[in-house]
Amino acid sequence: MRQRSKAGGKPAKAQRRKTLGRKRRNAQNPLRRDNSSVSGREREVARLARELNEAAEQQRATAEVLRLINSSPGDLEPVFASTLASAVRLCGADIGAVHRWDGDALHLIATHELPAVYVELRKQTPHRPHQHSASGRMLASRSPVHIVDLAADRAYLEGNPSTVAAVEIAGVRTTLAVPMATEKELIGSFTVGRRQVRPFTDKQIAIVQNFAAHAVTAIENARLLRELRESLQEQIATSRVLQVITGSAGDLQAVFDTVLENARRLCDAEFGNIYRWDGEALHLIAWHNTPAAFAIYRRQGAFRPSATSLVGRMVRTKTVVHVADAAANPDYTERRDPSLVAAIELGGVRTYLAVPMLKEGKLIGAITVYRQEVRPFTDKQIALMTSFADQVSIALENARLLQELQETLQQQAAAADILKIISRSTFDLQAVLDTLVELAVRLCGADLGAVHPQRENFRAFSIYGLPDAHREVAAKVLFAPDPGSVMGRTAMEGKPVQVADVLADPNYTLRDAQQKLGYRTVLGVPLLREGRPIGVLVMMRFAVRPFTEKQIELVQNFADKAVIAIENTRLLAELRRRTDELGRSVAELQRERKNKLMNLETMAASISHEVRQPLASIASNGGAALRFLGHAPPNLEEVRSALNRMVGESHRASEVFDNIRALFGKADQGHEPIEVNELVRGVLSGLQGELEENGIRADLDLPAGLAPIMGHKGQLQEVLVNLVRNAIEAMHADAESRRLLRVSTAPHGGNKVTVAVEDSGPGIDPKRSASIFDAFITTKSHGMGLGLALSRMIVERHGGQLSAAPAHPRGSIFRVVLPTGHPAKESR
Amino acid sequence: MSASVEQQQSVFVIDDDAALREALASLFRSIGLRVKAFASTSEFLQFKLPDAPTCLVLDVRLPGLSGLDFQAELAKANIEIPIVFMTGHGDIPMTVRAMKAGAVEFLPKPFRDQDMLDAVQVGLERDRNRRKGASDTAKLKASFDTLTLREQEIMGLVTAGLMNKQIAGELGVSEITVKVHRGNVMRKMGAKSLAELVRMADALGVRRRPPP
Repeated sequence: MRQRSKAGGKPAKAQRRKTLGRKRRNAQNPLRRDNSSVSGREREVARLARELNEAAEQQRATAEVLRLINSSPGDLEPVFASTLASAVRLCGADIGAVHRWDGDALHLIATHELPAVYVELRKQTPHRPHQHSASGRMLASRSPVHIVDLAADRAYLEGNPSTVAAVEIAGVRTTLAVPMATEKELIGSFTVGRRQVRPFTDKQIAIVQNFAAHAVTAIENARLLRELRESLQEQIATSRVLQVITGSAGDLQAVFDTVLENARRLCDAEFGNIYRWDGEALHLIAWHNTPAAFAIYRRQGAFRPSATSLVGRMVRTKTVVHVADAAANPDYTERRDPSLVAAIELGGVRTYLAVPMLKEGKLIGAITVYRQEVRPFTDKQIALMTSFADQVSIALENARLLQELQETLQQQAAAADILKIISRSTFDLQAVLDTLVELAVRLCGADLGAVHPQRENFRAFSIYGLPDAHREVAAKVLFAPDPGSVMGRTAMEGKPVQVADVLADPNYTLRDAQQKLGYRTVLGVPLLREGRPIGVLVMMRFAVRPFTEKQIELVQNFADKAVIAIENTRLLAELRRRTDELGRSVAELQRERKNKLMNLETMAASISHEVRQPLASIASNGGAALRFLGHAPPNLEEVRSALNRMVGESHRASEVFDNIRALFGKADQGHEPIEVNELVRGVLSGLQGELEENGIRADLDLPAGLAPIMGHKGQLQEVLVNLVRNAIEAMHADAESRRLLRVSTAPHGGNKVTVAVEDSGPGIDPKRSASIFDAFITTKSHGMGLGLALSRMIVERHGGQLSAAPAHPRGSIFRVVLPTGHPAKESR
Repeated sequence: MSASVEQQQSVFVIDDDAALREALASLFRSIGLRVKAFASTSEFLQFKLPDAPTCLVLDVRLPGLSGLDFQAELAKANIEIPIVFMTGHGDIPMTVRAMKAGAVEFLPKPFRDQDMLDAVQVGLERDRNRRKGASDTAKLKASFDTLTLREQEIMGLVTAGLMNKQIAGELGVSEITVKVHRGNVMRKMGAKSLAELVRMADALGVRRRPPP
């Protein structure tokens, strides 16, 4: 262009430099060629100028079109209008139209200088061009179709309506239809026309084709741009949803809101809902922009879509349901499905889309978007909704996992707490069960809870969730393993029993407790030990709201722990009892052994004591006799009497052994039935002299009818003599007027007899009362310790007991308890 | 000691065992001691003790009152008599208690006859010495009683270590008068020196507290 203008504007200068470069020479050629005639030159100039103008205009138009394409991406109307106008002007046409081809019909999208009537006509009905019309031929051939005179064309002559309309209404004569096509498909047509018959030149055809190509570019650009935008928008929405899912930490509502807001916007819907599917019904859990009446209707009751309804089909097939016009469904027209009627009449729903939310192939809910006009959703929107549904599923699953995690953690913490208490050395069953019940109530969302152990006759042992005043009521309720209570049924069946509403249960008999405490849903879980119920853990709710499988499982878990606690307590108690028993028997063995040793010591001490006295006499007499013999003259009289005494004392010493042998040597031979009262009387009459000598009054209380005892009369006599002598000794320091001896007998239990010997002396020093029966312990001036030790030994050999206690108001009382009948082996 | 006094000394036996009483009586008689045996402490207390050296042989185990308690009662009643204890099963605390309370010996039965005789001889000797000490004091007391009140007063002051001059000042008399009284005191008491007089005053318990 620049070269041309130089050549045209400054020829002289070019001439002067003819030896210069090739370009200049070339530039001079046209001038030289057209130098032949002026007119020819002028024509040439005009042509060139025209071409120049055309080219410039074309350039401008193209630039304009490209600018429009760039500046208004997506909004194609002005681009087509402008492109069409440029094409019409540049190729000297009068009118023009741009159509979009959808594979079935042509849709008018831009016109130039066409009469409004014609445009209206075209817009009313889809344009399915006649096969012989320009458009029809263009569609068939996918190449430009140039009709010099449409009025002479076959389509017109055959009366094709659109051709007739074009000729007669729009006044088209010469027409040119150029296809708009991408590499893959035909997307429309670009048509220009003249109101008189004047064929388009090749150049003009090329121009139209060029503009058609521009239009295609614009359409393609717009499409790509739209796709880009959409995908961007989707990505933004998705990322926003994901952001919310990540950031919400189980706050599902935020996720639902975000999803629904984005879904509604991106799908160009009026409103949207999210439902949860529980296996039987859909429950509205989130909504966005939903008409209040419709939302309230859905919230009021579970949404149970009929199997024949479209949503029912979605539930059944777990596939997307897309309804173009809900109002056309017979479920609505025949008012068969109230939920659909509600959707249409309360929500104004026409077109809607329901996308199932799935988890591992199972339906968990649905997400829906609605339009209040009949305008189907695009595939893209459906795909988008599917993606949203997946995201909500993920969010639900996340929330569920989170909740499960939290629950598990809570349960583990609870379990740890309980195990901590159970493992404490100072084991307090009440505390453990209290904690168990409290945790169970809190973790399974109950209002009340109680443990009813069998060993407490199924009374409530630990109660949680009641004010003190009501605890009384709960604790007083008597349970029995019968069908009248949930507790009873649980104990009978040995497995969890749930009653959703005790008021609705005709067999429930604990009406009084129910009235006072006000519970409705009751769950009983048995405490099982080796398969047998040892108690029941009961959870109650004030509202009618059954416990879920999971909660029941949780309560069972707690019941197991309660069993461990109760078992531990039982085992601990048994262990303690056994330990005590063991301790007692060890103590008994030790005492027995000690007694045996003591008996030996007692015997030895007794024998040696009894023998010392005569031995001392013998030694003294011997010494005396020897000395009297040494007198001058020997005092034989004294010697004789001393020797006589020695003989006597020797006999006395041997008597000691005889007596001891008589007392203990052949004990069994001496056994005979003894009337205790007679024995007492005999001993007292024998000691009558001593009593009188000491000014002691004897008071006897010997009731008749006592069973006789079996024993060694001599030994028992010795015991009583010993006790009475002790009493006499004890009262030695008393004023004579006060000296009183009481001896009484009485039956003791069913098969024993008691003999009590009571004195009015100063009593036993409490510090020594534990040791008075030990050998050699002297409690009184006359050394009675030996006597008491021997006495106890004798009594115990008879299977009895000898004990001492303070008497009232003063003195001591010694009691001998002896078994009646044959004492059998104890006598040995 | 004269033979008459020796013959007067007696041994008393308290034991509820008649055989042992007789055996012991015989044993003591065989060496020429006078013996009196009793079955109980009350019998003994009813007996009038002779004015001669005596010794008591006592069984620890007695009806009514233990031998040890009886020992304490005698001491309370100011009856000073050496005691030889016999016991069937004496233990160490009992022995210690008896010995602390002045027992002569603690003999477990059966004892050797010679041990018993030795113990009784020790007891009699101890009683003899006690009685002799008691009679010396009685003589001093008799001498002291022959002093005038003023002489007794001066004896107390002299033996307290006061000078004649000081005594004169104390009593408000002349020093000469004090000297005369002092000579009388020495003569009547039969004291050969001031030191002897001090011992006598101590025995009589009339020595005044020395002046500060």
